[in-house]
Amino acid sequence: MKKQQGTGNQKYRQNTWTKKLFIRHPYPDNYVDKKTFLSLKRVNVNARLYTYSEAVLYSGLLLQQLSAVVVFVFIYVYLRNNLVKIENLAYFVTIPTFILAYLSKLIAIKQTLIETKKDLGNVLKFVLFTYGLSPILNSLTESISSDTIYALVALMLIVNLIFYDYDSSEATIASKTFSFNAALFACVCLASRFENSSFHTFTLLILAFMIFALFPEYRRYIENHYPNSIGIVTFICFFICLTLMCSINICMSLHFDYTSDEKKNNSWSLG
Amino acid sequence: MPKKDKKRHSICMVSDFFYPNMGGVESHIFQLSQCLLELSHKVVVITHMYNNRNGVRYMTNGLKVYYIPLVPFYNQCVLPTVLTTLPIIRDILIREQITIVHGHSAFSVLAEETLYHAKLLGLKLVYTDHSLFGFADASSILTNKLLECGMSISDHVICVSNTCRENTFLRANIKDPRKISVIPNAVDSSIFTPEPNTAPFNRIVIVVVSRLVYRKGTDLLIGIIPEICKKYPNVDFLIAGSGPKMVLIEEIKDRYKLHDRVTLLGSIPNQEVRNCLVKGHIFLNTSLTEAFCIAILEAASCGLQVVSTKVGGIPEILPNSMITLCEPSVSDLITKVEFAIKRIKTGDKIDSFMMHEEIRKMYNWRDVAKRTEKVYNLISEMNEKNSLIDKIIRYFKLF
Repeated sequence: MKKQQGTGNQKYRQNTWTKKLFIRHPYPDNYVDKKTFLSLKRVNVNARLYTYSEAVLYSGLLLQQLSAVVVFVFIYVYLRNNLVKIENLAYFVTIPTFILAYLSKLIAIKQTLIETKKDLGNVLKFVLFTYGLSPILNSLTESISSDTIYALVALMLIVNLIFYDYDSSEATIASKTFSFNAALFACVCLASRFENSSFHTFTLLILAFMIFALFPEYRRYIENHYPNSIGIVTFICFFICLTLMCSINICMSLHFDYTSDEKKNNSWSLG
Repeated sequence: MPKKDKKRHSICMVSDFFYPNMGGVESHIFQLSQCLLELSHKVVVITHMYNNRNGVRYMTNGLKVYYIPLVPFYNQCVLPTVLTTLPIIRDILIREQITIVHGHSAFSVLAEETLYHAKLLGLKLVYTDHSLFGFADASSILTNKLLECGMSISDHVICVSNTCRENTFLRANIKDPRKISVIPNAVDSSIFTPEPNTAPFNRIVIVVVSRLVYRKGTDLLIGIIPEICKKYPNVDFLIAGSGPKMVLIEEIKDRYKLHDRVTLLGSIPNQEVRNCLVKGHIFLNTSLTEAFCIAILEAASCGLQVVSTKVGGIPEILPNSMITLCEPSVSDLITKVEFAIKRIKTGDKIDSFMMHEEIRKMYNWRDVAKRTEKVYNLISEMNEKNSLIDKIIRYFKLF
């Protein structure tokens, strides 16, 4: 006689409810066991809660990049209005800053000689390449009006700020290459406004590389290794930005005057 | 004492997944329908068209299947337009005088839509959920909301394991956990019988039968194949199934020169699965998430030793004597597979035919059909307030 299917083995019968599906128990199928139901539920296991001071301090990262962008634009404005001689900029600002930053890198990270040589080789390559290209870049935007250039520059720098990789996290829109490309585009547009001298173009390009490629890496290193110093770095960046801003009267620089002669000493203009 | 008049229900099974597609949900619907027909209920199946398979067809025991002329749009499901399916579904439900509509699978668009239409017609609804889902990413959030809409109008929900019940309860925001019943899947043990002499005598064969996708843990499999093959020279791998990760397995074969140790069968038809399973000694399942794994039951029914990752509903299926569970990491998998290999070498394992008998008693479709019938009896006696104002109130509670 065929054994009736579905009665279940005597071995797998018990009177208490259990989570195993092969055990027969007298409870109905929709029985809810108060002790074990949802006992493994975990809520907010990976949630990261920020304190107020943490949030305020780390928002300084945004300000740092913003001030870098603004500093760059102001250097362009200074050059345009001949407030600073290009030789002073090149020899007394760019080169010392670079040397100081590189020395601080050598002190912080113990590098071998080979790596240092490689670094300096890269720098030399960049400098020579830019020097060679600057006569071409000089006259790139000769036929384009200032308005277009400035609008384009503003747009590109805003793109740089939006897509900049602030925290090296997995944010979807953060993309180092994209933001750097936008900034470089803006810089090339600005640098090519100096039709008369390719030395201006060259210096501005080198400055752009330093501000948009090397400076962010520098800041990121400091942020990762000395997280308590974010406030100080933010303050320094902002202070430099503020100093540059105070030397130019903002109201007057909004006065666009295309017919004004640039050599006139008392007319500041963006154009 | 006179036998109580058994209520005869007219049941309509709806899903996007049915024959000629083969899979877990499809065979679940078919087997359940057959057993319900045996219990003298009326069963009708509604699904979408497959290539040229269109119209009304009859399957075994007079199971009527409606292949509605809707083309599958994405992932074997139809395009979700709620109103275009209304005329034909209403027509079918009225013509067949359906009293209960049973939808299957959370991914099935047709099932959700039919539930809405059936509610309009005032029928009783049951919904079976076969899968586990996450909560975190965008697609999960949207699908869970849709599921919440569907489950709020269902009269009862059936889940295939206790883990699946907890998952569905949280996902779909169900208010009363007693609305969910746990009725596990089963396996047709008359097909999956052991045949101990087919497997090679002097070698140990590890069988893997699954789709080769990320979800099924193919990356873990790729991690353990070289290690096991290196440590045990008389162990072979037999892998059936295909998918996007198949190229990675072929890469491993080339890199470690395992052409004669690892056999890739590709996609095999369902009727060949049993013949493939009996060729092995150990069945390996490396899924990263699984509500209920029928493949494990099929393998155990064929008398194989089972090694599986301890995820989802898998710990609930088999007793510890028949299955070896491990954490979903390569190192733990290797340890447990070695343990299973040693057990086979020393002969310390349950006899294949005894395992088959135990599985036959533990899981069978007639039992599942009886429990489902209890659910149907329960909901057909329920008298829920179904006036328009109640429906509107319930709708607003969703948002």
